[in-house]
Amino acid sequence: MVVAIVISLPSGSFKSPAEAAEFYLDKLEKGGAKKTRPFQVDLVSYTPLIPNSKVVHVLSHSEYPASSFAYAEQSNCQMLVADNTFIALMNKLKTLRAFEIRLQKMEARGTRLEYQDFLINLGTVNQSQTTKGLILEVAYVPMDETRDGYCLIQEFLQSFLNMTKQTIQRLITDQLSNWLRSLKDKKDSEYTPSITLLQYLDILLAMRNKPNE
Amino acid sequence: MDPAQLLITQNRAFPSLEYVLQGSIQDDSAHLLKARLQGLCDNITGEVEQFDDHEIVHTLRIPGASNVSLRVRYALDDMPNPIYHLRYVASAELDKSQSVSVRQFHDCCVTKNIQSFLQELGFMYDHEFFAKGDIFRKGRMKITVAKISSLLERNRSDMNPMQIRRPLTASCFVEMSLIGSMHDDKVADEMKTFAEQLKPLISLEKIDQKR
Repeated sequence: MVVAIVISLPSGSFKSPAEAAEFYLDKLEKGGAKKTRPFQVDLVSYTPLIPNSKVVHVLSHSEYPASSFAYAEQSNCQMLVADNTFIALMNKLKTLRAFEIRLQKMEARGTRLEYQDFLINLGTVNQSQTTKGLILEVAYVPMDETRDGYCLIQEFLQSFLNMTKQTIQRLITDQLSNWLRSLKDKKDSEYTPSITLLQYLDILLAMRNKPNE
Repeated sequence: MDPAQLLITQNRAFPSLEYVLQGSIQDDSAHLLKARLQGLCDNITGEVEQFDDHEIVHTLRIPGASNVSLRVRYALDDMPNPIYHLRYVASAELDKSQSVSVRQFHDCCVTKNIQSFLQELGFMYDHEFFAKGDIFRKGRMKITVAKISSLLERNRSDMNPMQIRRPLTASCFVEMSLIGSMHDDKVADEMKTFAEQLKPLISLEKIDQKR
């Protein structure tokens, strides 16, 4: 059970994203959040070498170490959740010349913090040697009801990082806002970790396309 | 280092190899083989483990190279929410010195949208079949005695495929397999020795698929 929001934090007013990360980390710790361990999210994209196929993004998250999350670009297909051996299977398809890794690997690395029932992952996003930005995931663990969880996380962000509601609404990804909108006429709004990873995917893809500073 | 971190950072691309011996036995003699296996295998006192699986094979055509097939398998007794098992099995290596077939093997469990996912990747439906039978274990070895049947007609909307099964032959398919990590002659010897004990009921052989 978890509900999570993933946002990319602005680092414009700081010298570097690393300095911005220090600043936010300090703020979170002053608020009472405790550092627990490192966190890491990886994105590997496979470009097809065959017609009628699609780019496959494979994500892994240190919070779900036994799983891989795969998504076919521009498809109606939901995210595929697989064992982490899925990456070996994709690499097999790569050696069979069905796919290649043309796009560079994206990595988010940072610190995992805990504050009561909240779990915070704060890290910088790197593409080989270049730092592309700052990423923050706030998860409320004991719940999978999206709307209620979203409200709680919103309050958390407001009190810990002094963000306004408008800022949060501007920062959340299309994936999450589409998901929230789709819930309006549904009773069942069970959140799954795939939605977290879709949010990561959105942000990491946007950062990959962003020119280096 | 924290175990979660260790899992994610360790090299996950370890190659697996499957060692296989195959054979078949006629339906009316299958019970003799099962009795022999029950006596020889680890499950002497316990009940024999049974399985009833549906396997669907999807193939990807790669221009200028050989096709790739991925196998999606699930247990019918797990319905309505089965765990889907995705498998890649290469064709057997042509190594004359090995006395058993050795093939590269990758597998993982996946969520139920795997079939539409494979279609998005360009995989095409190839064929499907049902395998129902018993499974025996002897140490690291796994021996399956299964009845293979096909679908009379392909009908996705029919959620009860039990009624439209047609056995392919009047015999059972027997496979002895073992998953190992690298070429290991001891494995082959172990399997050969065990296969020897099943003679003359059945002769499990290294099958050359190219023939």
